[in-house]
Amino acid sequence: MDTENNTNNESSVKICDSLDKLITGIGHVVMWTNGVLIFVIILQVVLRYGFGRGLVVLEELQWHLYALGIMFGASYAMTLDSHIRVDIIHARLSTKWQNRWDLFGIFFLLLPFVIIIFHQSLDFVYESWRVSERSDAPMGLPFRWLIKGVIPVSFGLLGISVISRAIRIFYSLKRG
Amino acid sequence: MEFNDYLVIAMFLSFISLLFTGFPVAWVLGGVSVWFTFVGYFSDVYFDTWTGLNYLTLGMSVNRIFKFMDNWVLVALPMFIFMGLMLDRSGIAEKLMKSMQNLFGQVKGGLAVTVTSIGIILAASTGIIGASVVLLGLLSLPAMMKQGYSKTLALGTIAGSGTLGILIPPSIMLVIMADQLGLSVGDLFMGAVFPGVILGLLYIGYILIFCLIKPDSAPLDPDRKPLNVKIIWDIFKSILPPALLIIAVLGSIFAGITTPTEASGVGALGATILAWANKKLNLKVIVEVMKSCFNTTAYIFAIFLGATCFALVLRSLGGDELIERSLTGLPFGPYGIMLVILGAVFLLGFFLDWIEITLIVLPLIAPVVSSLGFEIDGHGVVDNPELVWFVMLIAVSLQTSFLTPPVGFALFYLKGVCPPEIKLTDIYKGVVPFIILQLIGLAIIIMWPQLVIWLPAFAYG
Repeated sequence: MDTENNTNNESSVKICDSLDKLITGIGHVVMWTNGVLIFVIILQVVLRYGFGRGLVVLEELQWHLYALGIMFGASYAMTLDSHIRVDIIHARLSTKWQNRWDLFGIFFLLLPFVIIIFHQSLDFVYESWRVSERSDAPMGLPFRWLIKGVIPVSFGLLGISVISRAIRIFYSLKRG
Repeated sequence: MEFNDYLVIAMFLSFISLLFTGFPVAWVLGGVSVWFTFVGYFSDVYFDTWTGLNYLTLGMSVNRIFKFMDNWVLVALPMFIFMGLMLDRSGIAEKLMKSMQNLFGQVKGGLAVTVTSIGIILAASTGIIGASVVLLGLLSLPAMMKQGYSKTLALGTIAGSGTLGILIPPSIMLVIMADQLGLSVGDLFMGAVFPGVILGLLYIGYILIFCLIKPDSAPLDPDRKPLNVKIIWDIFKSILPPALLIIAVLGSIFAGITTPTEASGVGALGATILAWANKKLNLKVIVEVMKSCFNTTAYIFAIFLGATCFALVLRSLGGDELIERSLTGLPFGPYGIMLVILGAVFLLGFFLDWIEITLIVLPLIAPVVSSLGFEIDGHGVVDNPELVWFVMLIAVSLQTSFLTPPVGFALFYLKGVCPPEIKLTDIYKGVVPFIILQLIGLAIIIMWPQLVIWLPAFAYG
């Protein structure tokens, strides 16, 4: 009985480890968008003030890069457990109770929110894809649905990081 | 009261009580809005109420989320965060500390004045209170203790100076406020200049006067060197690079040469160059800054996600009208109502960070403030002068709140970097005079709105 439980624990933690690794791995790639963003802004500034003409593409690229950064970050911050908490009471609770509240929050608050936004965003992206939406500016970027697609993808990743966290908490509670 | 009003109140109450479970604020906001949408929907179906909430209401938040992604102003946010994080690691603060201490070390309390000055100069860098309080604490507390400063003076100075950052431009809080209220980032940055300077001067004035009255609390450094040309030259050398950076960033916005977004990118590059010039730049530092920039941006925007959903449901229920009705119905004049609002923000600041307050509360009360009929002259240049003024009042109130015992944020961050023999009560005693200075500053800005409005009006006029 005991050994079986242990292997269960270990394999589930292994799954969590690989899920978390996936999320942080993606995060460590996407985080460089901020570096690219600096470069694009500087390029635009030089073109506009040095050569008297900016490019619409570069302007749009700026918010595309920024959007990638802010949206993919949510799952990364979830895995790192760095989302802002009000810890006046929380910090004084035992680990066990902190875990219980977290599990409650995940199932009653976070997951419903993630699932609904994920589901609703699929239509949003599909509609954009159906009409082959592109930038309003004639010189702007095409494939608007691609950047809109960041919403379901990032919420999907957020869902993965949440589930991994829930499994971890569940097993640590079970171990007592 | 109607059913919808009860729902609004229930929504706020559940939000606040669930916050205390310690579950991340962003997700409490999101979860509560989902639940209340379902409550509204089912009561429409079964109890003949009219809330108008349904699954489509939540669907609209996807559009709102995309509005945050497709947003030129907010692109400045990760860039200013990057700039701040890079400046923190550039070794600028240590250099400034060393050289300015030689100058100010000639008078009693000089070290505390140095701390305040660095707080003001580097305020530009962070805007995240935790970061600046921790930086100033690590940097200056050991030096002040070694020199025999009274604990309370040292601690108060650090906590107070560390919170100046949320107000002094380029503060990321002002960028978000500008976005939420549809104001110009340039107006807010310029509007914050005089309030920031006034608070800084109040701090420095207090420290110097206090040290004149109680010389024992801030003894001079026994090893101080006499003032000579070399010291002045050193200060000039250490202050010039960060000053140039800040002038380049703010100056180009103020002069209307670049947009705040472009200036933020230039600032991020500039901070990286400063770190390189100080030989602090290597791959490890770059990776660390990238990671924490990504992470910080993420937890700020997570609250955008939750708050936008919350605001959507709240507005569908008429929550904004309810708040407007109850505030304007108060039996006080415009200034009385304003004080009630500031008081509420002050109390909220005890357990919410400025991010949540800016995103949830500010958009709800801004229309009330506009409707109160404050006649502030924008000189035909500044749009919505009453809101620009109001944003400064909110900023100073929040700053005060973060300093105020028993639960101000700054106090706990500071406690985290103090040696163990310093008790929380020492910090509490230390911040009291600075809280009073903050309130004096607040009163000055309330009485003379032109301190806020004049600079943007003059610059853009």
